[in-house]
Amino acid sequence: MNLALFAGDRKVADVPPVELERRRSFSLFAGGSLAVPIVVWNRD
Amino acid sequence: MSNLSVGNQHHGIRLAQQRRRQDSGQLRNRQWLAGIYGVIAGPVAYGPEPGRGSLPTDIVNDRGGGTTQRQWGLARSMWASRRASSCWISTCGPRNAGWVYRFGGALLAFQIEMLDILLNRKQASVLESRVPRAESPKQRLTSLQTTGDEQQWPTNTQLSCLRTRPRLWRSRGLPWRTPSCMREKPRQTRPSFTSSTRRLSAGSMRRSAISHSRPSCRTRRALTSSCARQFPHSGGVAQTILHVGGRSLLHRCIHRGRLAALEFHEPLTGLKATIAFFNLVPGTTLALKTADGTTAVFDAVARTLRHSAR
Repeated sequence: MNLALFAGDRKVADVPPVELERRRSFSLFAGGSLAVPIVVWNRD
Repeated sequence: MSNLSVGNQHHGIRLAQQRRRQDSGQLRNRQWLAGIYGVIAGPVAYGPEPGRGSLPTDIVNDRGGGTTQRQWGLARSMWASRRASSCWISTCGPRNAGWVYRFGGALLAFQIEMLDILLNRKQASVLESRVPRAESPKQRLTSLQTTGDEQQWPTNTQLSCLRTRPRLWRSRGLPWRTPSCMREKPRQTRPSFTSSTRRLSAGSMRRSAISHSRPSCRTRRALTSSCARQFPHSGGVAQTILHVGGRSLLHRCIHRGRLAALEFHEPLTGLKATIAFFNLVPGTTLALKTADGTTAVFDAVARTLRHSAR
């Protein structure tokens, strides 16, 4: 499943693929700016 | 005594201009746990630094210097009155070497609370990991975990209570215990900042508005700090996760100089993965959707950090 960030209808960034696992927490941090978004997954 | 292990990696702290910089090389002896909020290694104290006004947030390597003991003594004497305008953390190590961590301005409630936790437990190890640069060149992850049986995750019931009752969440914290280095001096009362912490935290506790279901993280407190500007992370998020006594805290530096702290907990069910989404982009509401835009995982997530725009 490919995810992406949207600001309204505008696609801002693609989200790096992550393999979800049961019993795990995944946090997606979107930082930077709209022009240069930074998208990072963190697996807890 | 602390049982610390620090990976020989940069831990995300840079010092002010006139100070010697603390870097990973100075952590190689595995004695120092460095973080945004403090250090646990050997005798630890923190308190206000008298006689000075607002300090720039910096971290001073006092190793080999002659001030550690003096400051250590001040820490002992000033233990009960730490509402001064500037605070610092001091550690003493072998041969009286130590670090002094200074914070500009008074410590925020969350910082005090974090330090309180750290000082009480004194059991933590640092496990650092990195996202491979090939995958995320701007990201550096750091996780801290307690050793052995120290890590105690709260149960779902507890989490439910904690979510709805911040005071209970705090009251579940560890009992006050004077650091070993302070025990020789009788403690009269719990330090006065405690009540301040509770008052401030109760007012400042904010729910994370990032998840429509049950978020795995909650914004505890958003902090701003000048030191964050000196962090070496040119982009991305630097974060540290600290698991102490059932409280799993994360503090994070975002590349534009914001610090944030969140509370983490385990997934609420073993059958699912929990996803949390943090929108840290100033002035923007973001949605996490499938790439084709048809299905929203999180819709219209506003920026979560109150102080993120500065």
